[in-house]
Amino acid sequence: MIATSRAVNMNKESKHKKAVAKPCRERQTSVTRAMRPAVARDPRRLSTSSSPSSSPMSAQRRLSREEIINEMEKEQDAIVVRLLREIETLKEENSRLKNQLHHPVPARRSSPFFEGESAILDDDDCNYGYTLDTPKLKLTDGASRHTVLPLTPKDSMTHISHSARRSSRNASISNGTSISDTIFPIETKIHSAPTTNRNLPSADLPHHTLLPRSLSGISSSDLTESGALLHDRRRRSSNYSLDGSNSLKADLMAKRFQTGSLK
Amino acid sequence: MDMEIDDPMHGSDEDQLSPTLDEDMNSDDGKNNTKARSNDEDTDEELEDFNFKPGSSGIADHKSSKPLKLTNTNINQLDQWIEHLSKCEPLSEDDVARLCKMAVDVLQFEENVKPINVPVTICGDVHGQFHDLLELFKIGGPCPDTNYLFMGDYVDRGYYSVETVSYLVAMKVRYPHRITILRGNHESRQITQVYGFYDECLRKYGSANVWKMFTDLFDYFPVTALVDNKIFCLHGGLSPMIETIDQVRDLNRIQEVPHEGPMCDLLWSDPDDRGGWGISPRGAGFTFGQDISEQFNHTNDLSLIARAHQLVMEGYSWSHQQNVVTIFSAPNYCYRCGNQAAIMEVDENHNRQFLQYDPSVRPGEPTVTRKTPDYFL
Repeated sequence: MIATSRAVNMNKESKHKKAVAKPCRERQTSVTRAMRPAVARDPRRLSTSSSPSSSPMSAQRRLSREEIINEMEKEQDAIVVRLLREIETLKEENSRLKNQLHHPVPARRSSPFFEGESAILDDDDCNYGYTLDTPKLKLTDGASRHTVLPLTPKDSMTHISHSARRSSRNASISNGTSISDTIFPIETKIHSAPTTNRNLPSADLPHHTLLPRSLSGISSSDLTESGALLHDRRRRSSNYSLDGSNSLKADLMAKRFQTGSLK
Repeated sequence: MDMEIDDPMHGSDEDQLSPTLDEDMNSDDGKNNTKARSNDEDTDEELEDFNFKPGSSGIADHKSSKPLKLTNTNINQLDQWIEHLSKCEPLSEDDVARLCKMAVDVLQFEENVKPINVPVTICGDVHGQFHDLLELFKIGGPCPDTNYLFMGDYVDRGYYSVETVSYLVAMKVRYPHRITILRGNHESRQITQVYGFYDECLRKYGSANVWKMFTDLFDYFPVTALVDNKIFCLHGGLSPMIETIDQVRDLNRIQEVPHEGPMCDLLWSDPDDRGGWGISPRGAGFTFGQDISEQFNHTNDLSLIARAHQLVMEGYSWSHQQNVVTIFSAPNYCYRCGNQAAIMEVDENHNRQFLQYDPSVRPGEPTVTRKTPDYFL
């Protein structure tokens, strides 16, 4: 810029002198020079476009005033063209985004609706938990099996009842050690039933619910009276097998036995 | 007992439902607000896009299917406009609209390669320097006594783009066979918004309507001219996509100047000392070497390529061993470059003569200004 400024200033001074001193003569000189045929001039001289007045300046610089100005103009054009292209690109992108905004992707709208449906489904599960009148419908609903206690599979109930009977018979013909052996198989069967475990987390149940109500009054010392206890259990066990809830109570009783023996 | 067990789950379900419902409500409200704002902004942007789109001025609506015939009424009106403009006074907006409509009916029938007969005086860039344009006519002779060919860039940079382009268009309509006006890279919507013509129209008319009219009219300017089938005239230079003049004739020129392609190249390219094609430092067009211009001239049986587009201190400059000549007709370019201007006369025998001239001197105004124009770095 400094070089350009100097060149321009020198040119301005020169033009000012010409304008002030000899305006008429300058114009005549210009017209006279212009009347010369172009073919008479040396092409090399014409190609360089270097005026005599700038010869000393040319020796000091690599670029002439003309070249400097042209370079500046080209740089300016380059900046402008690049920005115009960027503007055009941004306009196209803006247009595309607006189109997308006016026609949103369906997945976004369906997501809240899906969540709503899920919530409703949870409500249904919760409602099923309060009704004990339609056990068959509950059995066909997979979700409810994981949340409702009464919905124990029939196969599992039969298995638990059978185990109870076996443990009862074994206890009647053996001493205290035999009782311990009998409890172990029952424990194994209980753990092999994941549905039952999920339905009955031990930590979530109060202590007093571990035993059926009919047995809650019996103290721990009474458990040693094998005859009376076993007799009473055999009689009631036959009644429990007829009802799903009784089967659950039998399971709870078995756990109680396990706890007692460990102590 | 069952009720006690299920109550926590029920409460948990309610907790799960609440955020979902709130989220849905907030989401809907947000979308509605965004949509409202988006609609308003979209409307504004669409209006802006429409206003700046080609043809938005309406001057090309109801185009005539036949070239304009000059009636006595039209002639009188045009002469009044020309006289008015000679005083460097802009036309009214209504007069500009009428002038542009008439010009469309003249220019739309001109070819992409306008054939021209000798004798003719070929001129380069003017760039809004109206008083220097009048000086040009003094040097070259008044129109229609002298035939003229202008190679574009009538607007931008100078202070009188409106008067300059109005005057040249009016002269074109008044003497359609005596004057030819080609399109330069500055006869463009995008470029004129940057380099001053748009701002000048806003300042002189209070709105962009006149700018829209002229930029719509620019689309109809021919791109090149051919003098006696020997001198190929255009604003910028050659294109690697154009090998023959017939290919220029096949272009669709009635559009905004694109950023690339043959039409862009014809208005943006520059000759270069280096051979072959090169990437233009301007960011548009190409540079071409002597081998390219020689080949083009040979292929098309030309003797010369005349172009403008570049400042030359003496007003004209030969290159490529007289295969290409650059003509620049804006003296003291940007009111500070200190260059001479020139025009090239071609007589009946194809002899070429350059007439050089200095900036016009107007009473009361200094011949040299130290003020830096806003549109020049």
